Amino acid sequence: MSSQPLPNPYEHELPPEVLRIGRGAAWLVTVLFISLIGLPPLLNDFREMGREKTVRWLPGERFLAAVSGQDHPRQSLPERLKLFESSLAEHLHFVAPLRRSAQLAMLQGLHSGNAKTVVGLEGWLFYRPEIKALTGYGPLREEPRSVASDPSVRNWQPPLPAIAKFAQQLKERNVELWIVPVPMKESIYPEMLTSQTAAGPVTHPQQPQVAEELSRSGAKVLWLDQLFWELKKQDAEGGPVYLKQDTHWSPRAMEAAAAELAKSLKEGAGQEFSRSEITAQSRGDLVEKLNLPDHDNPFPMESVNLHVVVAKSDPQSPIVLLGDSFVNIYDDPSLGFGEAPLSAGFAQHLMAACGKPIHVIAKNGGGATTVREQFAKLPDDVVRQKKVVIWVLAARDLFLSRSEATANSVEWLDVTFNSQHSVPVTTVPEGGSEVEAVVTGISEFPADPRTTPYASAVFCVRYRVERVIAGSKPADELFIYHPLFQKREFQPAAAVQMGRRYRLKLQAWNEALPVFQQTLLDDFNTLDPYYAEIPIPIP
Amino acid sequence: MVFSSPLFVFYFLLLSLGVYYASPVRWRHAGLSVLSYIFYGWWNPWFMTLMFGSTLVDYGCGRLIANGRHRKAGLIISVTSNLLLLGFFKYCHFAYQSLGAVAGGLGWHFPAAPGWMTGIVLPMGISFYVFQSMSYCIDLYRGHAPPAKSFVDFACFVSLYPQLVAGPIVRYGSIAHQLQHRTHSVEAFTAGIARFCLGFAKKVLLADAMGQLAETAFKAGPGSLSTLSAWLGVVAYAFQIYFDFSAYSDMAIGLGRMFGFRFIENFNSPYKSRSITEFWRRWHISLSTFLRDYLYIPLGGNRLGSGRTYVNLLTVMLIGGLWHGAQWTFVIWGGIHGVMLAVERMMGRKAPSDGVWRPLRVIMTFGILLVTWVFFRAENFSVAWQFLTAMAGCQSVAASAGLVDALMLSRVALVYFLAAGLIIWALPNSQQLLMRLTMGRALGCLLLFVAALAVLFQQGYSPFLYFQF
Repeated sequence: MSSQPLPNPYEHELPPEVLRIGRGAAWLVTVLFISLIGLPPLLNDFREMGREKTVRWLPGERFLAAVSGQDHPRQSLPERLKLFESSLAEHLHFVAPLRRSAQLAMLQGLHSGNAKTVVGLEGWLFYRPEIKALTGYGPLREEPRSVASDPSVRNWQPPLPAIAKFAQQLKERNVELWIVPVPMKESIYPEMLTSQTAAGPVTHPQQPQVAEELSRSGAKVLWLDQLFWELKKQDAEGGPVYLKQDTHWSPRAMEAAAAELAKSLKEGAGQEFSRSEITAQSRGDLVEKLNLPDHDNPFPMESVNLHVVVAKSDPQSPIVLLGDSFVNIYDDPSLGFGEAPLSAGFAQHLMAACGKPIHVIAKNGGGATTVREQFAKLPDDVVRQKKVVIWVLAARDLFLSRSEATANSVEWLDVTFNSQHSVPVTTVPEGGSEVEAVVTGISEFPADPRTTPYASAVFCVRYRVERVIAGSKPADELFIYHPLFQKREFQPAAAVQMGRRYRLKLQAWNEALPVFQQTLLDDFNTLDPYYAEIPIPIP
Repeated sequence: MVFSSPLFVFYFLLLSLGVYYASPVRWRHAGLSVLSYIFYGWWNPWFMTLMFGSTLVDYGCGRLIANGRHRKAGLIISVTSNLLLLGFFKYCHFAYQSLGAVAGGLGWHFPAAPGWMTGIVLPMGISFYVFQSMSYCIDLYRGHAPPAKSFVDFACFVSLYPQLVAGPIVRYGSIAHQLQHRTHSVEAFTAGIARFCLGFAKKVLLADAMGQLAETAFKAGPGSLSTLSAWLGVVAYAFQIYFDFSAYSDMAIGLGRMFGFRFIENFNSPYKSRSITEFWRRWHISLSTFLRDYLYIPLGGNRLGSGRTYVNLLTVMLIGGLWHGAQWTFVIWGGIHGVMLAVERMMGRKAPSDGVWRPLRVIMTFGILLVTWVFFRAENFSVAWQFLTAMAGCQSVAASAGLVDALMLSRVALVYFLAAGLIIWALPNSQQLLMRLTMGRALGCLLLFVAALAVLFQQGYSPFLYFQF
C-alpha cells in the first residue's frame, strides 16, 4: 500500500463520520469484543483438552476430519462442512446453558416458545409442525416453489399415492387395510390456542377430499375427530383428551379410540387379559422440545392414570397393528412415562377390546414409512396369513406439505414386499459365536441424528465371514444390526467402513431387546439378521 | 458461512482479524483473499473456481484496457463474459421454461429442459460479485479508476468477504484508493465493532422473528389465511426483508471498518419515504446507484425527452427486478416500481399526494410497497393473487384460519410488531445512530450483541434473505 492516496470519484457517496470516542475507551470496547468472541471457545478448548488429557485443538481436528472425509465419508464435501459447522456449535459447552436461559427468559417475559413448541393458554403447549400441517397446503395441492426454495425438497412423494399403492399391495395378498389417523391436538383444543370457540373439530380444509381419496384407494378409514370432540365435551369427569404438555393423546382418548376401532372391526368378546391400574408421570415431549433449564423448569409433571393390560404382541395373529409413538406412548418408557415398559399402550388396549392378541409393529417417528417397510419385510407366507392391517398414524404426517414434511423428516416411500418364504429364526450357539468378517455393504443412514424424528436407531451392515473365532460359522454372508445412534449421539458402529475387517460377537436379533424396538435402517431387506454391539476393527 | 452463525462469530472472525493484523502490510491482501475464498467456498468449494475464473478474466480485460490498445475489446470481453456467467447460472433454465410456456401457449411442441439444465445450482452471491468484478473494467474504461497494482489486490477486491455475497455492491472506483492506502485506528475499529454488533442484533432479534411470522402467513394454504393475517403477514415480510438486508449491510460495513475499509451505505430509513422515487434513494442504494450509472445513464437517462425517460426508468426497474431472481414475479415487482417511478416523474410537482400530510404520504407509500412485496415474496402469480385477494377480504376462510390468526396475534408477535414499527419509524437508523460514536453507544451495541447471541442459540440461525439473489 503506497502512501499516495488516489482520488475517489464516488467520495460523495461516503457519509461523514465523527468518532467521538477516546482512544482508551476504544481500546476497552475492542478488548471486550475480542474477549467476547475469543474467550468462550478458547476456554471450551482448554476444558476439552483437560478432559482428553492431550494437547490438541479439537475443532481443528474435526475440521480436518471433515475435509479429508474421515468423518461422514459417504457425504459430499459441502455436506461434510455443514455437518462440521453444526457439530461445532454443539461442542461449545457454553451454548446449552445459554440457550436454556434465553428460552426461559423468552418464555417468562414474552410467553414465547420456539421453533417446535407454541405456548398456548392456561399452560397448554402445542407442536408447531402440527399447526403448519393443519393450515398449510396439504397433501392434494402441489406446494408452490420458487427460485429461493430449497432444491433438496424436490424429490418428495406425497402420502396419497404411497398409501394407495400400499393398499393395493395388501389387496393383492387378500389383506384388508384400516387407516386410523390420530387427530392433531389443535383440532380438538383450538380454544387453548386462539381463545375463540369452535363449533366442532378444526380440520384441514382438504380433509373431506383426502377422506374421499383414501376410500377410493380401497382402504377403510376411521376418523376420530368427532369422537374426540364429543369426549372433550364430557371432559369434566374423564379428564382431557390430550395431554397438556405433550403432543400425544391422553389414556382416556386412546382407550376410546381402541374401543371404537374394535367396534368398527366387529371384534369383541374373546380372550380376557389381566388388568391393573398404575399412575405415571411425565413432563411432556413439548416441554422437552422447549429445552429449558432442568433446575428452573416452570412446567409441572403431568400425571396420568393408566390401565395396564397384560398382553403381548403375537406375530402369528391375523391382525397386524402398524403405528408410531401414538401406539407406544404408554408402553415405551423412552417416550417419558415410566422407567420400564408399562404395557398400557394402544396396542394392549386394542388387544383387550378385540379379545385377542395382535401382531404389533410400532416405531416412534416411523409411522409413515418405516413400519410399512418392516411389515413388507415379513416372509410372503406370513403376510398372506394376515387378514387385517391396522395402520395408526399421526394425522399430522398425512397433512404436512412437502417442505414441512421434508423439514420434519417425514417420508412417504413405496415399499417392496418380500417374495421369499419363511426360514428358521437365527440362533446363536450356546456360549456365543464370534467371527472376523469384512464389510461388503452398509445401509444408508442420516448424516445428522439431530434431524431425525427418532432418537435412537440401529442399522444393517452386510459382512463376508473370513474366520470363526469362537462357536460355529453361522453363514458365509451375515446381515448384522448395529446400534447407529442412541439419544441422538452416534455410536462407534457408525464408523464402519466398506472393505474393512472387524471382529464381531454375534447375538440373535430376536433376543436383542430393547434394541429390537428401535428404528431399523436396513437396505438389504434382511430376513435373517444378527445383532452385534460394537464391531472391533482389525488392523 | 453466515455472519450470524457460531462458526463465524467464534472462530472465523477472530481468525481473519488475527491473520490480517499479524501479517506484514504487503501480505494483508493475500491473506484476506485466502480467507475470503475459504468463507465463500464454505457453501460449496467448487464455487471458488468460478469466482477465481471470473476474477482472472476481468483482471486480464483490465490489463487490455489499461494498455490502451484494445480498450473496447477488453470492455466487451469483460461485460460479455460476466453477463454470460450470470445468464448461464441464473437465467438459463428460466429462459428455457419461459420459451416453453410461450410455445405451449401457441400449441407448439417444446421439449422438456434437459437434465443438465434443471440441475444447475446458483452459486451463492454470484449476482453481487459479477457486478463488482465487471465494474472494474467499466471504471477503468471510463477513467474513473487506475488499474489494480497487482492480481492479488484485484482478487482481494472481488472476493472481500465482508460484502461478498449480499452487498453493498462496491464499485472498483470507490475502493481503488483504499486498496492502495487506508488508515487503521483503534477508534475506527471500534466503529466497525459497534456497527457489526448492531447489525447482528438486528438480524437475530428482529429479522428472524419477523421471518417466522411472515412464513406463517405466506405458507398458509387456501382457506387458512384471513384478511387480518394476510396484512400482518405482508407487514412482517416488509419488516423482515428490511431488517435482514440492512443488518447484513451493517455487518458488512462494520467488518469492512475492522479491516480499514469504508463501504458505501446501502440503506437510509427506506420506509420513511414519502414516494417511491424517494424509496429508491433510500433502499439498496448500492444497487440503485449501480443501475443508474451503468444502465440508466448509458441508455440516455433523462436526456432524450420525457417519453424515453419513462421507458428507461421502466427498463431499468424491470432488469433490476430480474436481477433479484429468475422468476416472473420479480419482473412484475420491478415493473410496478418502474411504473410508479414514471408516474411520479410525470406528475412532477403536481402529484396529488404533494399537499397531503407527511405521515399520511409515508403510510401511502408503505401501502404501495406492501403490495409490491407480495409479488416479491410469492412463489408464483397464483400465490400472489391468492394473497392479494386475501388482503382484499375476497377469500372464504375455514376454521383453520383461526390458528394462523392466533400465531399472528400472539403476545410475542404483537411485541415484535410494535418494536419493529418503533425502530423503523420513530428511531434513527444504524448509520445515524453510530455517526457520532460515543462510549455509551458502543457499549450498548456490545450488550445487544450478547443478547442476540443468547437468542441465536435458542432459535438457531437462518441465512440472510438476499443470499438467494
